[in-house]
Amino acid sequence: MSTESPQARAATGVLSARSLCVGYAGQALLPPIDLDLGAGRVTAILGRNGAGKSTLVKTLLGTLKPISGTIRRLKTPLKIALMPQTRELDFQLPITVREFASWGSLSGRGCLCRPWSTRGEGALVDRVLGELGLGELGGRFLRELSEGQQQRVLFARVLATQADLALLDEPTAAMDAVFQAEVMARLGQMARERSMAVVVVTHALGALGGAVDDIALLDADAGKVVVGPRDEVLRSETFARRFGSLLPPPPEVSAPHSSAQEEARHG
Amino acid sequence: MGDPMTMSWADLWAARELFAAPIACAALAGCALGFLSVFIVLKRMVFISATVSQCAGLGVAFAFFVELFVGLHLPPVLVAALVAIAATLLCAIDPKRVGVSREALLGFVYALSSSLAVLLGEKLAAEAHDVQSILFGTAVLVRELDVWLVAGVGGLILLSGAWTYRALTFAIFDESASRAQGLPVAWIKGALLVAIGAMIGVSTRALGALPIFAFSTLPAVAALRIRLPLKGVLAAAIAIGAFDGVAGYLMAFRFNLPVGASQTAVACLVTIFVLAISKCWTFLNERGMGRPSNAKNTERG
Repeated sequence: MSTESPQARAATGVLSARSLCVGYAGQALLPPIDLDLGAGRVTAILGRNGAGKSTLVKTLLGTLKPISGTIRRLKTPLKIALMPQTRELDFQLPITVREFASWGSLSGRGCLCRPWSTRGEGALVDRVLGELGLGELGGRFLRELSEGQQQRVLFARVLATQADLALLDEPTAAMDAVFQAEVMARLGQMARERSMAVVVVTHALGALGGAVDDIALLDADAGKVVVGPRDEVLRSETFARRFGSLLPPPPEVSAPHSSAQEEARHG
Repeated sequence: MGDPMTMSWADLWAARELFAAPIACAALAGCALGFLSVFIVLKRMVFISATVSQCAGLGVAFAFFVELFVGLHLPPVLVAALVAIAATLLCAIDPKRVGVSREALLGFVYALSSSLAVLLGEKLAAEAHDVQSILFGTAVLVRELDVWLVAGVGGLILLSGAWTYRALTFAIFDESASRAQGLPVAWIKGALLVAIGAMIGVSTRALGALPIFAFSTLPAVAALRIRLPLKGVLAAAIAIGAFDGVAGYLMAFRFNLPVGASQTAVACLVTIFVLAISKCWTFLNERGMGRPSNAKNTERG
C-alpha cells in the first residue's frame, strides 16, 4: 500500500497481512484484504458505522482469529499500543491521569515484576502529558475530565508506550477541530520521528489531513475494500460513492498509481 | 450492664487467649477480602462473590458428608477452597459458550449450591450446627489451623497484589490495551479469580459464607466513595475490611449476637456511614462551604 519499492517496504515493514478475511463465527464481513503497515507511516482505516473497522483492528491485534489469510509480524518482538475508544473506559475507576498514562510504559510479561516505574518512565510520562497540555491535570481523576481531555490522556498513554505499531480507535472523535488537527499532526510526527507504524480507525473525514499517508477504505455494504495511498483512495469511485462531496477535492496526484491498488472482490 | 444477655469488655479481656484467634482471623480475612473487593466491585463481580461463598459452604458440608457416609476424611477447608476456585472459574467463563446470560448462570449455581448445602446439612444430624455455622457465620471459635490458612493465603494475595500492582490494575481495568502491549492478561485474570476463590474458600470454614460475602463487597463500596486514587482506595478497603471483621466480632461478644451476622451488620453500617459522609461532603462542596470541588472546576469540552 505504500509507494516505496517492495525492497524498501520489506526493510521498513512492521506488519503485513495477505488475503486477510475478517469477521465473526465464520462469517466474513469484508472481502480479503492485503495490507502492509510500514514504519514511519500513518494508515487510516476509513469506513462508516458497522463497516468492520474495529473487527479489522482486533484481527490485526491478534485478539480475533482471522477467517482466512495470514498476518505476519515483520519485526520481533513487536511492541504494540492500542488507544481504545473513550466509551470503553470505566468511569467508576478512581485513577489519576498520570497513573493512567504511566500504564503506557508497561509491556510484556516482564512488567509483572516491576512494582514501581523507573525515573525515566516517570519523566517520559510527564513530558508527554506536558506536550498535550495535560501537565496540570496529572493528579486529577480521569473520570472528571471532559471526553476530549480523556482522549488526549489516552493519546498520551500511546506516546508513552514507545511502540513499533500504534492502533488508535477513533482517536479524535470527541475533540474540537483545533485538537483534532493537532493530534493528527502529532501522529504523523510521532510516526516519522519514532519510525512507528500508526493505524488510525476513523469515520471522520476531517481526520484525513496531511498526516495520513495511506487509507484502507472499507465498504461492507458494497463488499469492497480500497487500499492505497491517501490521495489515490480519496479519488476512487468507492470513496466518491460512499462519502460523495463531503470532502474538498484532493490535490492533484503527481504520478498515477497502479490500478491494482483498488480491489473490488465482491459484487 | 446488668443484662445477663450481654458480656463486659472485662470478660473479653479475661478470655483473650480464647478470642485472639477468631479476632485475628476476622482481621486477616477482612484485609485480604477488602483488597479483593475493589476488583470484585469495579469489575461488577458481586454476584460471583455471593455464589462462590455459597459454593465454599457447600464444599465444607460435602467434606463432612463424605467423612460420615463414605468414611473418607477430606479436609473441609481444602474442599471448600477447591469448590470455591472451581465455582469462580465456572462463573467467569464466557456465558456465550454455554448459551445463557451470566446472571442466569450465576443464579443457577447459587441456587444449586445453596440447596445442596442445606440438603447435605439435613443428612448430617451431628454436624448440622457446623453447617449452619458455615453458611451464616455463627462460629465463635476458630481453629488455629484456619487462622494460619487465612493468614497464609491472605498474606500471599496482598503481597503479590502489591508487587504486581501496576500490571494487575492495567490488565484488569483495560484489557484490550494491556493485551495489545503484550501483558499476559488471561493469566492475570485467571490468577485474580483463583485468588478470589481461594480466599473465599479458606475464610468460609472459619467465618461463614454470609460475612465472607459482606467482606468481599462492602469494603470497596465504602472505599470507592472516599475521594482517593486507586492505591488509596485499595488501602482504605483493606483497613475497612479489617475493621468490619474485628468490630463485628466485638459487637457479637458484647451483646451476645451471632458473629457472622454482627460482622455483616457492622460492614453495612460502616458503608452507610461512609456514604452519608460522602453525600454531606458533596453537598457542602456544591455550596462552596467545603474544599472546592475539582469536578466543578474541570474544563468540559
